[in-house]
Amino acid sequence: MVKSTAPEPGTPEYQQWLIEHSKPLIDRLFEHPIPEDVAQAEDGLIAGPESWDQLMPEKTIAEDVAIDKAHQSGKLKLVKK
Amino acid sequence: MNDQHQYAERKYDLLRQESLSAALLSLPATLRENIALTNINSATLAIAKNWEYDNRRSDSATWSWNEGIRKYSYRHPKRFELAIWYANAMLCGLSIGKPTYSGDKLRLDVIESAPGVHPLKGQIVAISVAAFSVYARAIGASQIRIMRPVNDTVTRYYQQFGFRLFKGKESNIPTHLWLDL
Repeated sequence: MVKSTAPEPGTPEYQQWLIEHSKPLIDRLFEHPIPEDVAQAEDGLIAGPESWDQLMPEKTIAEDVAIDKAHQSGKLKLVKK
Repeated sequence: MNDQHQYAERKYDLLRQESLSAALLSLPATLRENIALTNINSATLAIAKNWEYDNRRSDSATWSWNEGIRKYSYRHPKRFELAIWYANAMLCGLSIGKPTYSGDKLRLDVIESAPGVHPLKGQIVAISVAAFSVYARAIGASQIRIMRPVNDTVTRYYQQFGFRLFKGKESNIPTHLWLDL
């Protein structure tokens, strides 16, 4: 599902297009040194389920549909920083 | 594997390779010069197997990379997978994810940093988000979702970059962070 504005994958132009569209976020992520407490907390599993079964379509399709629906309805209760 | 499946695997493998290269080129020079970003292959899995026996791995990590990745890969030709290496020799982080059912968002399903001390400690989430954001562009996805984050300190930190957090309970909506691209 490549956007029609993107050059053809496999070309140098495509690589450049990907970089141009991704770099602002990446620059922000690395703008400041990561605090020591965050670095120390980044140990072992940071995100993930308990088993592979939870990553198979039998589970994830229902999750994706429910999340999309909740996002669209604006009913998700967000946790503040 | 039928023709359609093979076609999808080839098409998305090209996008994965393009995304890994573009992600590396987009990282700060100090990182770029010392790391490699690759798919998850047999050599990667052999090293990850050792993580399972490492007693420095946090208690919540009962996850086994080797158990189901082949089945996951076969069933998800559009997946994105990432192995983060330091100096081409030390495996420091792994992550995988796939587009959502509607195809316009990208799930980051698992992120793991190597247990104990390593040169990229503290950078694994940032590098993963960077690489996944490139792949999201490649497939035309407009949002990244980090599913089931297990670490509150790391979660709070990434909320500063615009990620929003929903804490799930008993519903089929698990805890997740999301960021619109």
